[in-house]
Amino acid sequence: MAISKSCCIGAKRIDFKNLLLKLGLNKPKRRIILKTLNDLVDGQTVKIGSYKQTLGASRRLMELGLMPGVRVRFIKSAPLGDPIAVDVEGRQLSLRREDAAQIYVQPE
Amino acid sequence: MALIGNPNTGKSTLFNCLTGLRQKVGNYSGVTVQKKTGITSLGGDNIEILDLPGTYSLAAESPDERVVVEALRGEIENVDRPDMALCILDATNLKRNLFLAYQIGQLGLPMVLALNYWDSAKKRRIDIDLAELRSRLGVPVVPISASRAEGIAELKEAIAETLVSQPLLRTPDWPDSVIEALDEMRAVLPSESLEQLDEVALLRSLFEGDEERLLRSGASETQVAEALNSGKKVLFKGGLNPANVEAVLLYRHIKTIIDSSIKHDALSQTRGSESIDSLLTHKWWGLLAFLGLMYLVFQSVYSWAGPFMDLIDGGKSALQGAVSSWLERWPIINSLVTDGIVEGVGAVVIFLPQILILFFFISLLEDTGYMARAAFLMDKLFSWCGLSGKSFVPLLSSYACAIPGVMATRTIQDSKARLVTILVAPFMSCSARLPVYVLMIGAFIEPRYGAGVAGATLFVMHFVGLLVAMPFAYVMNKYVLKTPPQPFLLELPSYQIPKVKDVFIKMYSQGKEFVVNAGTVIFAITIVIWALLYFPRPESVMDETRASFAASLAAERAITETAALQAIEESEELQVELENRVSSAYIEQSLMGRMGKTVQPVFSAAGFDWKVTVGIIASFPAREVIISTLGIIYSLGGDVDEEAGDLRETMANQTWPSGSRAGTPIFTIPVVIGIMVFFALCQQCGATLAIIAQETSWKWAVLSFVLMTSLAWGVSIVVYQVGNWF
Repeated sequence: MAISKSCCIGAKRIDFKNLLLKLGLNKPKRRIILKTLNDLVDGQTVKIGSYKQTLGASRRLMELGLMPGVRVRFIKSAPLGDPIAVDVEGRQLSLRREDAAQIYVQPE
Repeated sequence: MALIGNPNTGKSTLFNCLTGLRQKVGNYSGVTVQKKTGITSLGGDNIEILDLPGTYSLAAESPDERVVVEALRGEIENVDRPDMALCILDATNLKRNLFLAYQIGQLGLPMVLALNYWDSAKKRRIDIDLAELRSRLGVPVVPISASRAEGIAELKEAIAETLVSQPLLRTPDWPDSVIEALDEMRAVLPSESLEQLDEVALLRSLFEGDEERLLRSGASETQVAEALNSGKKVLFKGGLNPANVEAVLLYRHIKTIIDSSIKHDALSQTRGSESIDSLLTHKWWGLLAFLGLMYLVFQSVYSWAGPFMDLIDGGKSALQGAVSSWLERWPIINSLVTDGIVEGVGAVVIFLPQILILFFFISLLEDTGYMARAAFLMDKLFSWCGLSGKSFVPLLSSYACAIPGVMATRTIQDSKARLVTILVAPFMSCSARLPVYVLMIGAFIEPRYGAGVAGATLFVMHFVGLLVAMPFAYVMNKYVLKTPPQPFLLELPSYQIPKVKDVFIKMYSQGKEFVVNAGTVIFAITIVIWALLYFPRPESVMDETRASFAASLAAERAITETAALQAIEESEELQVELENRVSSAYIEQSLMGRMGKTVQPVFSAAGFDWKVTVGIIASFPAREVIISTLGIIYSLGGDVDEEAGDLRETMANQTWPSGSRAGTPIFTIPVVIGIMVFFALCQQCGATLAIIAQETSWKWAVLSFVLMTSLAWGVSIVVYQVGNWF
């Protein structure tokens, strides 16, 4: 019983993904290329790319030096998983993951 | 002169350096932004320094920034436009710090730049060409080290010179598209509003997309929208994104300056802070260290302050005793002085040990840079309901007392998070609630259910407030304080060794401000409460009480009333009892007692009788007052404490005198829990209201009072009604 149940759910999930792919809503390849500041591992260094349109307060982040093209090192996340700490030109800044997910980064 | 700079640039150290103890702390009216002014002497002249809140930019998005902009432009009532700006920069991070300097430069104020942390810049082998920097910027640049008080004399010289020669920061040459955009805006806006708007105002409106400033100049909404739109279009054509044009252009400009004046040895950058952080923000060790530190802070406020508070209390009682025997012949004046004035002063001073000890730790935590780490560690727990990681310390301190707790919210930069923290702080179970819990649990829970349940109840009571506070914060944040969300940004500054002088100046100024502002209100409340409990006071009450006491004694002992009166005269014990009965009779017919009886129907749904109601009303200025008030009402005298056996016994024996519940005990378990929940949730602390008003405005103090009190009332009724089903 248990096996068939999980099969069912698994099958449904695949269908759902395929459906999204067919509709062109889900583009796995793009998602791999466009990483955000939220997707990094400890110690990884990247360059700030652009900001997602949804982040209304991008100006504030830029004023603090998170300008496109600036090198940023992901230091770590807080013990509870959020927020994260990054190194921006020798300064440590902390921001919440929801904000970090609005900032695209490029590998160095 | 205005002092301004980024956060964590050593601004307050410099301010303390310049002014010493000649400081005044207050609030800008209507906003939760602290106003600090001080006086420094400059070759015989005294100069007033306005210490503006630390800010990263003048974008006027938060109240802090708005205050800075308005203060620099001279738009705040009772605050003169400064003659010059002293801008403090972190020499090890000039790039970002110059950003703010340039924004201030646009406002057209003469300026001196102080490069702080000059010593550590040298240590890091950051080679700054001061002459080049001065010529590129066009204003005096003075290297200082505020923590060692180095370069202060040179800085003062430069300030004196600046006041005479009025040098302005050389503003960057904006690209053509910005100039064009401004022209477009001028073309659209009506001439009368252009008269009020200088180039800077237009530029800032364009950069910030700020409609408000343009609307205030008298332009119509459509004109403003059109002006901003056409300006933005021009920027867009010039290849600039209107959303971040200022940051891009200024940083581009700053880069050319930095490149020409700074040689920076990148490899020598210290990672010292990060290695400390590998422990202090470590997944396990970090949390452990945090809990340990917080335990220390809590213990210090909760326990270490105790002896000092006892000392103050003892001093107060001694003074009351002395004054009372001296003024014995004038009962009204005697009571006013002892129970009103001395009590009121005592009620203010009693908070000082906790405030001073807490601010000792807070300034240590802040000045070392640990406070930012604490916020980093705790943010997740608080962010969902609109609080911030920095709410932890204020809320924890509120478990000892909400007064220092509310004052401690000053460490929260985000003013919305600060306001929400202030509003929930009084929910934390402060030490003044403990006596009420101990009395109720000791009198009713423990005898019936045993020590285990009693302990558990006490434990649970300490979390009732917290459990209510979190959703309360969520609702306040989401539905009442509708300001657009700001991204949470926290700088984790390099660890520093704190300066003893800064720590003590902070303790002194906070203590002084408390006594001067909140203290006066607390004192006034105490006097008012005294009057409500004292008046009216007809002589007849004394005789009536004596007569009825004699009558009951006569009946009890089967003697004549005259003999009973004789017995009362002779027995010291009966004298005391008579006195207690007289006090009880006085309180019953005082204004406060009458209020209690009038208000009692409101509490009858929660099962409170008029005596409990009077106790509750009398304890609105301070919760712990209920114990002594109940003592007086039950004719046991005002000196009872929560451990007193006779008070517990008397309460347990109280029955309803009449009505449908006649003869049944008043203090049933639902009533007892209802009373405790009421005290847990109610805003029964005049001092807290005074401090909320001091830190925000009376509007929020009144709101806090109304919300908390009605919440407490509603929940205690629910507790009683639901409890009665079982």
